[in-house]
Amino acid sequence: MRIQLDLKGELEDELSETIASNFTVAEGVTLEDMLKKLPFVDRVVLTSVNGTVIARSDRASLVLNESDKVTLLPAIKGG
Amino acid sequence: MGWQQKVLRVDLNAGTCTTEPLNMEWAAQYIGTRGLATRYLMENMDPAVDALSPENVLIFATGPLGGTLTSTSGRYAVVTKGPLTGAIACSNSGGKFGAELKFSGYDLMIVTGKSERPVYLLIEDDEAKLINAEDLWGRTVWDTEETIKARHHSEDMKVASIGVAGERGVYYACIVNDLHRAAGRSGVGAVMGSKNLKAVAARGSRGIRVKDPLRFMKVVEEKNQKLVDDPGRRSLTKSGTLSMMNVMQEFGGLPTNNFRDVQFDGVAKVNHKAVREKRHGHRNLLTNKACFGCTIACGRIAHIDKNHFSVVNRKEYWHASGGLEYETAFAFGPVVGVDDLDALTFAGYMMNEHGMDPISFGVTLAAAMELYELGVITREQTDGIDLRFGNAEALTVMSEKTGKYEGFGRELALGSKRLCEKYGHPELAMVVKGQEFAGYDSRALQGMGLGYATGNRGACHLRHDTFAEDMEDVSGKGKAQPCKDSQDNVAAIDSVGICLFTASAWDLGDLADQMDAACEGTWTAERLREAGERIWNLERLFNMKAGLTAADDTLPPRMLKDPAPTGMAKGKVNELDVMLPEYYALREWSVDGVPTRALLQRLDLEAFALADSA
Ligand code: SF4
Repeated sequence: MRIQLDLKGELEDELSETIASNFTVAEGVTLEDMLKKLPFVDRVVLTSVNGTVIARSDRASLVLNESDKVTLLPAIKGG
Repeated sequence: MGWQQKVLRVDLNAGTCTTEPLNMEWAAQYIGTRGLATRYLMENMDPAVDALSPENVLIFATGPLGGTLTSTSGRYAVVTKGPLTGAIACSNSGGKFGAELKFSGYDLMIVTGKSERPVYLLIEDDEAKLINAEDLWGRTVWDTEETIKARHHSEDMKVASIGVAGERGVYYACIVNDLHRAAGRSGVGAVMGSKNLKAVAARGSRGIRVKDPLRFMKVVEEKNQKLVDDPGRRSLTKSGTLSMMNVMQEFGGLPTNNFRDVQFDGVAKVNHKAVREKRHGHRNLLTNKACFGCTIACGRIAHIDKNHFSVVNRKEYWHASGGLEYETAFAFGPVVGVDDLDALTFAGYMMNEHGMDPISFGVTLAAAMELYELGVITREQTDGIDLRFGNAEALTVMSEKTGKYEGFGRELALGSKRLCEKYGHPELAMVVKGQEFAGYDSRALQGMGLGYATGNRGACHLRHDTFAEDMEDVSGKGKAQPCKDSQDNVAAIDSVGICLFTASAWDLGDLADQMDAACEGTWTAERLREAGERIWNLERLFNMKAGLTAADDTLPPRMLKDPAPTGMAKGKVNELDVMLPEYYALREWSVDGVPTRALLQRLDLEAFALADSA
C-alpha cells in the first residue's frame, strides 16, 4: 500500500519528492518497521502520522494505513 | 605552536600600538578566541563600567587552530562588554579576516581607551599603526572596505569595519568583515564606534607553526573526511541553515508576529525551496560560499530582482551579495510577518552594508509592529510608514533608516527592550538580558528557553544545543543536563577558533585530536570540556561583577504565561521554574545562581570569587 512520506529539513535531501510521496509498504506494517527500512532512521527525531505526534515508545504498535501521511523531522543544529 | 604567542595592544588614548607575549598559562586554561579573550577582559577592565565608555575594552581574538589546515579555521571573536545587554559580549565571525589577523602574527588584539578623532588600525605583520579616518566616518561598511583596500593598493587586505549604525550607537550594531560576514550580536559594533575606531585592516604573511606537522596533516585529513561523509554537513552545503524553517514550521516553533504565533502562513515563500525557485526568470539564490579554509560552505550568495520596489532604479543593489540563512530569514520573515523574498534579501543587504545584527533588528521591528497595531505607536511617528505585520515596505524602509540612523530608525536603534520600555509595554520585548531571541520559540523548544534564560550574552541559540532533546519531548523534563553540558562544549569549540557548524560531525574528541597534533601539551576531550566549563563560569562571574543577578535568568511573560497557540506544543508554556533550579544545582551554583567556592576551586577560578560565593 502507498503512504506519503513528508520529510523535513535535511531529510528532504534523502529522497526525491516523487518517491517520498508515493512510498510503498506492506499491509500491516508498523511505523517502527517502516522507519527501520530508511537508511536515515538514526537522524529521525520526531514522527507524526496524519498530524498526530507518535511517541518513540508507540512507534512499534502503530500500524500504518493506506494513504497515511507520515512526517519525519530531524534534529537540527545551530543556525 | 598553534598560538602565535603575541598580543597586540592598541591604546587609543595615547594613539600607540605595542606588542607583548601571550600569557601561555592562560592559553593552556582558556584555549583562545572566546575563552582567552574573556580571561584578558577580566584582567583589563572593571565589568561594572559603562559599555559605551572609554573604559570598556574591546578584544579581537583568534584561536590556536585559527588559520591552520583545520576546516573552518578562519574564525575570530570580538569580546567586550555589550551595550545591548550590559553583560559580556562575545560575537564571532567567519570570512577571512580572522585568519589574516593570525597571519599578521597575533593571537589577540586588545583595544583600550578612545581616540580623539576617528581612526582605523592598519596591521601589516609587525607593523601596526593608527591612521586618520575622518574621511571614512559616516560611510558604509562596503564603502569603507573598498576605500581602505584601494588606499593601500591591496585586494588581499582583510577589513573589519563598522557602518553608521556602529558610529551612532545603534545598540545592536555589529562589526562586518569581508563585506558580509559579521561579529553580529550584542552591539560590539557600537563599542567600536564609541572608541572612534572605524575599521581594522590586516595583511599578514606569517605562517602558523604546529607541533607535529605530519601527524597534524594526517589527523586533519581524517577529520575532513568525517565532515565530508556527514549528512548534516551535506545539508548545510546544499541548503545552508534555511532548511530548518520547514522543520520549525512543522514543529510549531517558528516565531511569527513578534512571537504571538508559532507557525507562519507564508513559510513556502521564504523557505529553502523558495530561494531556489525561478521567479521572473531567475532564482534568488545564486551559489554558496565558504569562509576561510571551510569545507562546509554554508554561506549563501543571492541577488534581488531588479524590478523589486526596494531596488528599482537603485543599481547599487543589483549585484550579488550575502543571501538568507535561517536566522536572517526568520528575522525579516515570520517574526515580522513578511513573505516577500526580495524584501527579506534587501533587508539582509542593509544589515551588511550598515553593520547591524539581523536578529536584533528583526525582533525589534516586530515589537514596534505590535506596538503599532496596539495603537501605542502611530503613523505620524513612523515617518508615514504603515508598520503593520506583513508589510514588506515597512521592513525595507526601516532596515535602511535604522542603518542610516534616520527618522523612526532612531527608535528602532534602541533594541526591543529599551523601545518597549519607552512606550510603556516592557512585556512585548522578546529578550533575555536585553538581547533579542533567535528563531526558536521557547514554549515549543523548552531547553532552548533554558539556554536563552541562562545565556551569558543574553538570548542566543548558539551557546548550547538541546535541539534533539527538545524535539523528543515538549516538557522541561531532562533539559537541564544537556543544556549545561552543551554550553560547556560550545564554549570549548568556540575557543579553539573554528566554526560551530563542524559540530554536526565532530565531537570534542575530534577537536582534541587536532589540538593535540597542533599545540603544546596534551589535549583530550575532557580537557576541552573542562576548559569550556571554566570559560562558561568566568563569563558568569564577569556578568555578576557587572551587576547582573539570578533575576536576569528569565524569559518574557509571553513565554511563561501565554500558551503556544498551535503546533506540537499547543497549550504549553515554558517550564523555566522547573528547569532553572535543576540547572543551578548541576552547575554547582547556589540557589541564587552564584558559583560556589568549591566549584571555583576546581576550575581554578578562585581569584574571581564573589563576596557572596558560598
Ligand atoms: S560552515 Fe558556514 S559559517 Fe561556518 S565557516 Fe563554513 S561557511 Fe563559514
